[in-house]
Amino acid sequence: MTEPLGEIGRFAEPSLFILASLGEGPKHGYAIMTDVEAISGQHLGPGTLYAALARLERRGLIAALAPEDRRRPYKLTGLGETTLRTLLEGLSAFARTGLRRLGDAR
Amino acid sequence: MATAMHETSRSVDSTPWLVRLYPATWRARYGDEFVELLQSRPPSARDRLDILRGALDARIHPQLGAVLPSRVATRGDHLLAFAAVTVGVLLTTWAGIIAIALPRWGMGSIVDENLIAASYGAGFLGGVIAIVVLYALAYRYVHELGKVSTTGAFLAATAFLMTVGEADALGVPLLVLGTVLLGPGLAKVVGFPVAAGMVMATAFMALAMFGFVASHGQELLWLWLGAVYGPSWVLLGIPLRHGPRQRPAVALSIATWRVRGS
Repeated sequence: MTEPLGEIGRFAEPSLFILASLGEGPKHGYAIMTDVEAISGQHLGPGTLYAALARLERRGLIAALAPEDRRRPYKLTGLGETTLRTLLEGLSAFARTGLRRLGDAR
Repeated sequence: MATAMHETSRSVDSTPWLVRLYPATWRARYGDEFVELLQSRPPSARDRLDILRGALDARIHPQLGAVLPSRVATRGDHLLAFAAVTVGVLLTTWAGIIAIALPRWGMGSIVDENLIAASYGAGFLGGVIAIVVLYALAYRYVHELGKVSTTGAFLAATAFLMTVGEADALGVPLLVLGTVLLGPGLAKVVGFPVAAGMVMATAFMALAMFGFVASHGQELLWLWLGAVYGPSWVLLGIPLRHGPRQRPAVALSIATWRVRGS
């Protein structure tokens, strides 16, 4: 069972990046932001980051851990992990299809 | 260098102002960590615009900043909790009467035959309610239990069905297997001590039933069933009254991200 990101609207892409970042382990906001830049090359603004975090938390895809000073780490829930896996497998299938069609066109 | 320091100082100074753009409920939940983020990485002009959009979004969707209640109990949760406690009381009553009636304790003659018959009725009813509780548990806590523990709940329910049907030789080992599988998920619902207690109570009961514990397996079985296994159901029921942790109520449609393969 997965919780899809479709109705997250313009935050779907940042949400996917955040889930992928948390796939490595719990991280707080700043660490997520720098990690997303490293893995995707895209800058995640603080407003977008927290809008996406709030939506993911509310949908039960991530969970907040106990704060460390003022930093609060987040982790993937079981549902979040399943959702991330489903999304990535879908994207992977899409990429394979696209690449094959490119090959066929030549 | 001086420009960079001035930029950092100006950004840090603007942090409270930027955070105040968000609604109070949002600030109460995310304010501290958001300030920490802005102080760790002073926002650029582009970031400030992004924060403005984020604040507007938080005001349009105020529910995003609201702290979810940790538990949401319904009448069904109270009923489930009551049913689990009832199972415990019935099993304890049943086993307690049988244990007292055992010749080993020398009190068999004072226990009325009708009372013994009624106690078996209580045990039967406890088993039937246990089946309902286990199915309800699997349904209500599907997210917390996961596949393995949900399977465990179904196996344990099937085991109760077998024991009610007097197929104990198969039912009790299956009950142990089901409860062991149910244990990890159950720990997320009712806490580790209660879940571990129920797993151990079940396993020890099976050992006693098959005579692996001491020489008086059957006597120990009834005593254990009444004094430990039954009460473990009561302990299971108590935290169940709080219901599951809050989850989003809004069902979402299939994601646009889910792309069909060829």
